[in-house]
Amino acid sequence: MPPVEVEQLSAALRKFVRRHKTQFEALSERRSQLLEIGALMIAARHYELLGYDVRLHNPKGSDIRVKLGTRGDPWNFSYFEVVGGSRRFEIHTNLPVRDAVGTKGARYVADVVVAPAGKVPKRFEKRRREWRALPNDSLVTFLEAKALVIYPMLIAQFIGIVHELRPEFLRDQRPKGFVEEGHFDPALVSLGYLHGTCWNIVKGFEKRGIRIGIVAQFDSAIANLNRGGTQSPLTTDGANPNSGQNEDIEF
Amino acid sequence: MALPPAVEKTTAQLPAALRQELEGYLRTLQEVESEIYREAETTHGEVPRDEFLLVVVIWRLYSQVEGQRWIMQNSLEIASEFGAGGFRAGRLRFSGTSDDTTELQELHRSFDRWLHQQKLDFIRLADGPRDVLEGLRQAHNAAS
Repeated sequence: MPPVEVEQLSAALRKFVRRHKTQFEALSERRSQLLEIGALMIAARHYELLGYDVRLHNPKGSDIRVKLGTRGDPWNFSYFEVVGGSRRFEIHTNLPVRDAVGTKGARYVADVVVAPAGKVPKRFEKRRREWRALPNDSLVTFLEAKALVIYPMLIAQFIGIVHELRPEFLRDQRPKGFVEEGHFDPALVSLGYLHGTCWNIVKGFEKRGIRIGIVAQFDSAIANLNRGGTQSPLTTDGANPNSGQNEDIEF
Repeated sequence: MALPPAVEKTTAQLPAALRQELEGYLRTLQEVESEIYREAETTHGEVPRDEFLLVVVIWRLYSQVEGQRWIMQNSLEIASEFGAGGFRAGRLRFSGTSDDTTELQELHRSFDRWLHQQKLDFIRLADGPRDVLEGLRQAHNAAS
């Protein structure tokens, strides 16, 4: 007799899912809501794994407040400060950022943004009134989080965002000190899987000098950390099979 | 390629969004199935296709529960460290005692117990379909 009897296992799983119907429905509904919190947490964990000291700053009320969407001022929301020796950075969510060519009025809101400390106004600072967006040269790196299957058009859209914000990552030019400081390449993280039509596109990035990360099935990458994993799913060294900089793509 | 009936019957029980995502993933996975078998040095004679795909369904569901649990747990640990009551993001608000948190913890515990009953504990350590196949291959070898 085989160790797994398929019909029997299928019946047992169906029974389990029926018994926990409400919890599975909640799981499904909560996915996209938790996505950006997860992206923020992974970014913070990435720096922690590299030995940075990670501190939370919580400006308002008793709850940690995560900015979702474009509305609201950043100084009313929580953010992380990461400190390693003399290096200090901040991780914000849904922060408006100016484009790379200084287009008047152009602001792109990235889901998770890493910037040098002190570039985003805090409470009680007068200059916050005039603040509209992070200057482009203060954008270290960023994440875009999606709850979608990764199709070629989603990758193209992300490449477009990188092109507008930090085009050097599409020309094989990471900023000086970027790798030494342990930053991750701009990355698209998604709960969805990487569709087969994307495999060769992603595999080709390294050869084309495109330095971006594509992390599919983001919740599985997170689950790995939950089991005590010590490798950040966000990398610059091509070690992450989901990053798109490796010959082996994790299906 | 159509999904095996035992797999379709199972995914049909899931909420629509989860079902759609999971079935799409399985169809994509089938395109590289032979490569995964080759890398795991396994044959369909050793681990039948329907068995592999059904256990991949279990792995994906468990990963989603585990992933959400990690996010909530980490968020709440940080909240607690800084004396914050909970987490607020848009309409979602959760704390250590909110329904979302306790329901998810309960689901995680039940899933763990269920995996153990089904002798599928290796799922908890699997990083992807390759590990799932490897786990099944080892289970077959141990049984023979």
